[in-house]
Amino acid sequence: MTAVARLDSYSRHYPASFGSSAVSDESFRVLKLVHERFDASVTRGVAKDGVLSRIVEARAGANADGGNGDDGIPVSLATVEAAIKLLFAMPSELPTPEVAAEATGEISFEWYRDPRHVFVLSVENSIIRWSGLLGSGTRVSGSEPFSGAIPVLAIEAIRRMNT
Amino acid sequence: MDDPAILDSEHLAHFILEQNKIRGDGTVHHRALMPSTKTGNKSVFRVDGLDDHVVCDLGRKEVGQPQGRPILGWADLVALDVREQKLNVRSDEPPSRHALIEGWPPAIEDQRTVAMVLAQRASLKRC
Repeated sequence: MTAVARLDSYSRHYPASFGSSAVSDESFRVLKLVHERFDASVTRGVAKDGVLSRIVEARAGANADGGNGDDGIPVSLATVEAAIKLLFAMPSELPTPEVAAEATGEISFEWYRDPRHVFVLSVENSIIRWSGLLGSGTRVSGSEPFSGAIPVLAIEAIRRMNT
Repeated sequence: MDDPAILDSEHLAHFILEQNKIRGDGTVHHRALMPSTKTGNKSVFRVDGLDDHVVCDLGRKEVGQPQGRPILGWADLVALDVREQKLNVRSDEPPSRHALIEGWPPAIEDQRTVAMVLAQRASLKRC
């Protein structure tokens, strides 16, 4: 299958999610990037419960006029790429996170149980950050350069929060 | 610098304009309480003694109308809860009743955990 054919095929999985033509253009560009950079993973079964499309939508929505608050930093394509890497690095048994673009220019993945149990993994270009409340007043946070692997400490925190 | 004229018991309102700052379970999302990426502070209004509809009017006039957007509600915080996070509250008028939450940690991930704790303690009021 050619790259274009794969892209056409892949785009059919996400036609209804993208409303405006600007968003559609954006989606197409990012999907193209996905196929260029993540082809093997994508053809293995991609949808990851729709998280991939939500990454695209989050960036498009945030970068639309006023979409990321009045002081929002645009989400870069490098950040989208990092978010997709993060998605594919996630252990499959983790619950599906909420995806959002943040005013900081990050794309975040959030697991929320209640106000005392919440955990966020976020990426911004080549940095990965994590922040969480794990109940009983326990807080965790940290950051490191993002190489495509999720820090073990963060995965353990998400698992702990969801048990 | 912290302003001792703002009592620990004072209620502070941060007005919310975006739906993604309110969780589906009716609580405040920590996103609503992150400091501004431009100023590094959090903008609030001192609303002690004001009826809820007056607070809404204040938000519409001072925050919503200048941006041409409706106010969805506000995160209601108590000054002591803010100070317990090693943050400062200081008056910053005009506009009347305006104040700033300052002294945030420099790292975004640490700001986020502080915002999570504040969100846990805040109550959501809707306009």
